[in-house]
Amino acid sequence: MAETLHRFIGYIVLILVLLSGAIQPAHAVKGGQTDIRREVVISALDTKCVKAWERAILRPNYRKDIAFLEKLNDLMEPRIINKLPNGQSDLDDIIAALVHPHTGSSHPFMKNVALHLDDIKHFVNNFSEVEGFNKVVSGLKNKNFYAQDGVSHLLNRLKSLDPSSVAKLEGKIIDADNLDGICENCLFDIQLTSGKKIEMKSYSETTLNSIAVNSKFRKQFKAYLASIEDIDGMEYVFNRKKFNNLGEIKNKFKELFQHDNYSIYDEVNQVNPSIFSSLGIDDLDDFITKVDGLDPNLYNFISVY
Amino acid sequence: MKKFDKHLTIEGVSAYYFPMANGDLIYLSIEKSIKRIGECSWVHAFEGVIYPKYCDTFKLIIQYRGANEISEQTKCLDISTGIEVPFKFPTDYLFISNSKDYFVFSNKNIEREKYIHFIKDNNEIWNQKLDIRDIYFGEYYLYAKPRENIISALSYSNGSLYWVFNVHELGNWFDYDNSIKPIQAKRILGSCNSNLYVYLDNGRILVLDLESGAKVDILENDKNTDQDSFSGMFMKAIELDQKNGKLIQVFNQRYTEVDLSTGVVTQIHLDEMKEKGLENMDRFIFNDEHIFFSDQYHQKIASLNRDTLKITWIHDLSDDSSSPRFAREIKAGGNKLFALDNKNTLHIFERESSLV
Repeated sequence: MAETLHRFIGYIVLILVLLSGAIQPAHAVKGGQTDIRREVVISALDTKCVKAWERAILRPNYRKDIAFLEKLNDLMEPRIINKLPNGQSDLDDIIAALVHPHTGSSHPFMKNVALHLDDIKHFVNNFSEVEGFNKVVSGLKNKNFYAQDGVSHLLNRLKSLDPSSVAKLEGKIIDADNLDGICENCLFDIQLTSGKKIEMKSYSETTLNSIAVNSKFRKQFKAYLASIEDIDGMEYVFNRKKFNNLGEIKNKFKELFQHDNYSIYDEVNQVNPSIFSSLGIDDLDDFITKVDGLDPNLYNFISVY
Repeated sequence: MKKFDKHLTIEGVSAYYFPMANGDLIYLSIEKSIKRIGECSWVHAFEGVIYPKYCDTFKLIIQYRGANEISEQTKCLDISTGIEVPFKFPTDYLFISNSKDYFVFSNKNIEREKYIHFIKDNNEIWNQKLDIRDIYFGEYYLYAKPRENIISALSYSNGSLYWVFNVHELGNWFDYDNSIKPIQAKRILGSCNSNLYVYLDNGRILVLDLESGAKVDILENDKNTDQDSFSGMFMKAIELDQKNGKLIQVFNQRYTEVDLSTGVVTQIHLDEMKEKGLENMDRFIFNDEHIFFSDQYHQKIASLNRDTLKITWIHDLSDDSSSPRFAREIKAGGNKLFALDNKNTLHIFERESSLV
């Protein structure tokens, strides 16, 4: 009885809001607004869409976004939402944490919220059995802007991978990385079933400028170099929406290699000589030659996506 | 498996360590001095950077770089005293590899072109302009991977090229992200019967005729079709069991074996590993009875019986969850198993009977 009453009130409120013009469809154009608005009213009256609207009641900008409501509606399907560790509760937290632009607004690098929800749906639908799934869900619930940016970068990459290729989704594993104020629990990496480790980095140009001297970044990078047999065992994937100049990113790593008189060579060589010998590097002189000459085999682990 | 009787640990050990036949250990400490511990002990500290490269019952060959220098040179230490003794060859010869009878050194000319020098009975037999990444000492020829896309056979007597196989002929492959990459040779696995086996970066095994260098076959894993992007691939942890004529692999909690006489691939899911919380995604070592592997993720090392495919031994390296320890590499020598962890502690597991 209470649910019926609640739903009835929802219908009335939604109709009033729609007729008042508060909700604008994404494709609204002058001269055709009345007809389109009627279509919106008809489609939005779908019970599930009302439920989506209810779940977004505390997000005024999103609840007026039809594309958002449709995608949220998709996420609320039992076959999707039941894959979240805590079902609706998790989804509510995810909605509460969203920082992505709604229809009609824009952001230099964050995806439109409807597209982001589509990425979340793909992730939940395909990766729920992969180890580390819950850690990514925790990231989606984190209200920190950089956490949302980081996890969004991860979901974007996962969308193009076969789920069976992914062995693990891992939260911060070795070192904290507070570049740009990124929180400790909002970094992710992917381990493929081939053993390859993929480190996702959503860095601005400003942040990239500091990787050569940032001790935490260097420490994490050295930890990666120490744990792989050859350079193909890892990949650093940078967010092209934030910085899309691969050559310049490689130059930043060149500065990192050169830092402190190429000290990274001895630091890594002492614990994992195989990574350099696999590149034909027999001494520091060889290392300097390949670093300074931007040897493609040495820098092959860097990509943008 | 007979359990290990002793577990010893030595702290401050770098990746450069050499177990001696008498049970002593020579290693480069993380404080950058060379130490011998055991029945005989000494410490040799240098001003500069050192990397021990080779050790036998008489000498230790080290690579040395003075402070503020970038080129490295070779020195030789007396194994019983740690005192420097003359190195017979030019000091810019850097140790690359050795077999029972041969040594290979490398140096560079003024134009930074690399040469390899082939040594037998303390005499240089020949040298060739060659930048080598991987060497395999065959029965009649020296097989080398000079660049990523070349496999070559060289004469032991004069270093002349006997044959060359260009891996580039094999074409391209699609990586996990659908990027197109030229097929490259990653590692020479060894030889068996009349074939040379080479692991390719697309996860296949290139089989070459030892005598002619002609392509005999490309082995593919037809048992992991559930791996989508990686179906058909043998993962990086694959080893050649020359004695039994097999390629073997423990990876992703699966045991895979290739009978080299038939080319038939068998793969068994090791459910027991999952039940016991064990994983492996790294290279392993093996003897006739067991496969020893490390589980970096769960900070364990373990052994798998090759006949029963049952886990026979597990050792947890971490005693403190806030400071996890995992093995970077494991080695076997005599009756000992060595595991160097990420905290620079060398774990030595010892039993009465031989491991290898």
